[in-house]
Amino acid sequence: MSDIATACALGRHVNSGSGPSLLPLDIGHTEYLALTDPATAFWALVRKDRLAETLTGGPLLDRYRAHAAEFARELHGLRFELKPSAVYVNPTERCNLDCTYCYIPREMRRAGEHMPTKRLLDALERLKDYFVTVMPAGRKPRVIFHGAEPLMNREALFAAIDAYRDDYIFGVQTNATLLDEEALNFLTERQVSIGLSLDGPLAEITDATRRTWGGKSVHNKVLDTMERLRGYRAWSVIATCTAKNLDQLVPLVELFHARGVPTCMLNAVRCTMPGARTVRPADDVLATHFIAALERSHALYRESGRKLVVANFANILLAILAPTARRLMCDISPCGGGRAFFALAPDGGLFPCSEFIGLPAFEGGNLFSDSVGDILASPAFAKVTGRDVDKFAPCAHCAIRHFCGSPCPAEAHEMNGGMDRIGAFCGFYEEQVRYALRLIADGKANDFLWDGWDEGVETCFQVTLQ
Amino acid sequence: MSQIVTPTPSTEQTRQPATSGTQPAAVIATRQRCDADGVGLSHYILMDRKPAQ
Repeated sequence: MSDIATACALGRHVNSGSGPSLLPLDIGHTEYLALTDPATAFWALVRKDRLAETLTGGPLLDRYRAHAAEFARELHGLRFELKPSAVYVNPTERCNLDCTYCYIPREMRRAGEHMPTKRLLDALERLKDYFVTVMPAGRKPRVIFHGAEPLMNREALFAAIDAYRDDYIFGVQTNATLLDEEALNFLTERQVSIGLSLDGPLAEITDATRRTWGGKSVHNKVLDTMERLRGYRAWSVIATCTAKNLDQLVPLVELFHARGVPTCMLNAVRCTMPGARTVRPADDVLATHFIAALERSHALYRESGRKLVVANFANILLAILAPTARRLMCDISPCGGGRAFFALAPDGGLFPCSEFIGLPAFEGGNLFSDSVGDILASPAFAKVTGRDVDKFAPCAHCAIRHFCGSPCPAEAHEMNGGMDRIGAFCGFYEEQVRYALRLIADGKANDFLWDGWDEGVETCFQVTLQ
Repeated sequence: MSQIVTPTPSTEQTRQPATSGTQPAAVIATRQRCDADGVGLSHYILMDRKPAQ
């Protein structure tokens, strides 16, 4: 074998043979662009005037070569080797609101069934039996009561929390309208995490997408509940970003910050159901307003010393800085649906995620008649857990595909025609990643992450070259 | 390129500006890790890694 052939086999050169594959990415920064190896979620920020020098060799490439296989293994483990540790439980099909974008079919929300108390207790027992087989000793699985509106079936919900308080960590995502004093005391005394929903700083904004079946506003009720939760350890608010509230995202984060909300999510509307698509914002407009809201949250932090973490964006930052530390499993491929968590419908049907509960083709089986293991391996679940951005265009060639994961498979399937399609907001995620990389370049990333996020986290790669 | 900052057990990279004086660093690359324990949902409410037990 000649010297030249040997040299090539050693991976000496970037983007040829077995050398590192590094894609340049314009992040919109005056000084820097990014280089990424999407196969390992590796990234570096390189000053524009040093790009050629960096790509032709030197310490960055030497160090990356030494770590690339380790990063690939780490990413593979995160993407394919997790076991479920959480379940979304819908204890009722009913809801007292008729929100524009809900993923639960309208007729189900209006006149659906409650899960009887005895049945819910049986479900948690069966789930407990499953989780003990896949989770390490000493760790509790998580149950999130979700909707429809879980407090419509309050008696069963509270009975389940009391019966299994030693076996699960509980959370409730609620529209807040049924959280009276007694309910709030019950949940807070038991340290149940509480998530509320509010779409605007003013009633007329919230009312555009969230209202009762009779058309009544719930805005003030949510504000009242927020006030009563002030100071509680574990609560958050979700705002759904639609074409109806984009220009109100800045005042909305001001309201959240003023009312002591510790964490919020500014979620792009999930476009799984046709109704949601009627309020779908354009990607670039959404990105502009979303980033303005992030900037405002940062200014408020600098002024007050108190953070309002926008958790869905923080998770994008974590996907870049510390992939295994990410907490949300939507922006990863395959997503967490059906592999990190799954969802239980009131009739016992199991789905990869709540987002699929209105889509019968994605029911993997029934908790009361099938084994959870069999359901997780079912063809219905495999459609979701098998959605891999490495395998379809344009994601397969995208420099940031493992920072975004092309959420969400339900949207891809229902809105764009298949699991091998992008989700509803490709351009929005692209802008979030570019903004996150700009924050890293400017040394501001930590301001957007929750305090203590790095407990138990270690630095495994750090190169700074002058 | 003159200086390599070796790995350290801190998150300082995320806290400090990338500039040194008036000259920005030529290259910034960092990665951190922890056990991927499967704590991952689609909502924030239960994301605490060490929630009250």
